[in-house]
Amino acid sequence: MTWLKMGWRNLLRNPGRTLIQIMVVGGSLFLAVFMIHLQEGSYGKLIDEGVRMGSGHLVFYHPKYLRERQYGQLFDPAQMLIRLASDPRIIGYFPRLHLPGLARSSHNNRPALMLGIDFEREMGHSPLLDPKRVATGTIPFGQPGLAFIGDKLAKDLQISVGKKFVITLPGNNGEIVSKAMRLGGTFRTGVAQVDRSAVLIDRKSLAALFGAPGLVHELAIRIRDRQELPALKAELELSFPASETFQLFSWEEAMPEIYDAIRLDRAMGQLIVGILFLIVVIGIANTLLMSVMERTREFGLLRALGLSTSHIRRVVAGEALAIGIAGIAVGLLAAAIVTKYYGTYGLDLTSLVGGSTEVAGMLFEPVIRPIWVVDRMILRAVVLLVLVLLASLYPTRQALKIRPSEAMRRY
Amino acid sequence: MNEAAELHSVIKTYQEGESRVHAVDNVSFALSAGDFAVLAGPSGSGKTTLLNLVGGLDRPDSGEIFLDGKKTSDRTDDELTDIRLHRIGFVFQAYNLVPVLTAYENVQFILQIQGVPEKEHGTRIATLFHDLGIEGLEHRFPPQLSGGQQQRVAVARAIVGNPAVVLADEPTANLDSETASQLLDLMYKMNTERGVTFLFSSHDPMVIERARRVIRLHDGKLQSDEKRS
Repeated sequence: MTWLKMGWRNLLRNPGRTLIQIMVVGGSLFLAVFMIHLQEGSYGKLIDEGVRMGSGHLVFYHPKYLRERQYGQLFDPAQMLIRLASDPRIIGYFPRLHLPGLARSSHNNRPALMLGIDFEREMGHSPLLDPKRVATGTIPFGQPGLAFIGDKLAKDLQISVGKKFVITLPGNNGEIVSKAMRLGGTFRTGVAQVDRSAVLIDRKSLAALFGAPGLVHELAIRIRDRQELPALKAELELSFPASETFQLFSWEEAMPEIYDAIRLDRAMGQLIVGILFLIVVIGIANTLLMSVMERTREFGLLRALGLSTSHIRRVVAGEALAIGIAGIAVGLLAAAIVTKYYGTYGLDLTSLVGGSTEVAGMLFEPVIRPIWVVDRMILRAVVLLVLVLLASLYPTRQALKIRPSEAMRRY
Repeated sequence: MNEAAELHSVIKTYQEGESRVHAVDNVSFALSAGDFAVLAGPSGSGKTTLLNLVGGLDRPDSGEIFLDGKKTSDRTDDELTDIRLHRIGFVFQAYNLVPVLTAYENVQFILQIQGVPEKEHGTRIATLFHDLGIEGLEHRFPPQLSGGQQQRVAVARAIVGNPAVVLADEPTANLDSETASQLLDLMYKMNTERGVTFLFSSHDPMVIERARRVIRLHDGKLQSDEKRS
């Protein structure tokens, strides 16, 4: 006769109450586990969006570029491009120029960020080149004289597809340089800052205008599996050690606003789970205490028969353990089913947030697919089981206060 | 003959409202190993209190109690718990089996917490169930047993750990006369064949008649101690 078996049988004496306790434990674990899966799914999506729109999982910059963003903080990516092309872990690498300047039309002028990109290379990676986001015209592949700009900027400049406008920016030699471009198309991301300022231009054409052929500000790298990031970073750092002209950064360093937002959200999630588990512990302690008090005579009998302090602890802990194990099984099963379902079909929060939303300057589609985080799922289940066992301490203490002769006489 | 239990000038009082009640008043006697004795007396005479004192469920206000030659009246709670587990068997008026354990498990439970090796359980319990006439009821839970059957299981539970003395508090009070008689026969059999020492508390004439020793109490005082052959 194990204490767990005895605990389980005691619980079955009041199946209604036991069911409620199991549902409390199971429900809280479900919420705690599904929250992790959902959070990590949204973080993964946020990182992916950020990586595709911004710096990549890994990125080469001038060592001071992230802090200073100076025009002249350029480097030559030629050797890196050769190395990156042969690595199967890498699904894309994107040399880019970032040059703030002015866009002028015959009607208006606006500050703009000229992005020199390789259109063919970025296609399928950059969300700005997503065909679904093309508002007017087409993406100007292989047409260095055409620009692809945000639809709000086009509206501000009062230009349409085929019309001319002029970009003006400081050249690498300090002189102001300008070039007339024709509008090839416009895009709409929903991120106001991007739609109002981005001017996408063929990189080589922009580099020639700027006066730094072959040089870039950024070489972003997108990898197949984020788990491989630390190893790949270490290898690339070995191949291309940090120098005066370039340095390799991870996405966390390159996009600290996203990294910090994730860390803050994760901490909030842990706080919520902590409060949830605390409520569960109080609830379980309360019902176990009721159960012990209802059986005062029985505990008196057990003490009379010679059950020691540790035996009584095991009787009450056996019940807590039975509740904990059953509740955890229910919670994990529910979390697995719901994670599997939403992992396949996605959890659409569009109606709650009202369409696409902007997070840390990134476009975020509010359809989240939860992902499995097995180690933390198990950790939370173990923590909950330990807490449920701890919840039996106070009821045990009360059970130990029962004097057998009193219990047998009065109850 | 060895003394299974000894009481020397034992006093136990309870506070009831503003008055003090002498539940046991200066009682002394010795219970020999193999005795089949009854504490007799009307309700409130102190029978159950005395049984609780012998069984280590209560402590005397003064006086000394010995079990198997060892003083128990000055032991700590933990020590008394251990003594109850290994040296005393209890049979209660209301049977008091653990409701979530089967008949077999109720008896085995004592062996388990005594630390008796698992391989010995089967034989010891089977023999007891056979001797007490409750074979075939091993897997029934207490509510599935009659009062008489439950009390037999309680006797098996009290005896299985080889205690120095079995203390039975009004064991026949909830049974009809025929079942009570059968139970007494069985306990007598355990006493004569296995040498189990019994101390009952009862005001049932049938129990008093069958006992080989009758210790009469009145208002907490020892009134008479009659030994029969």
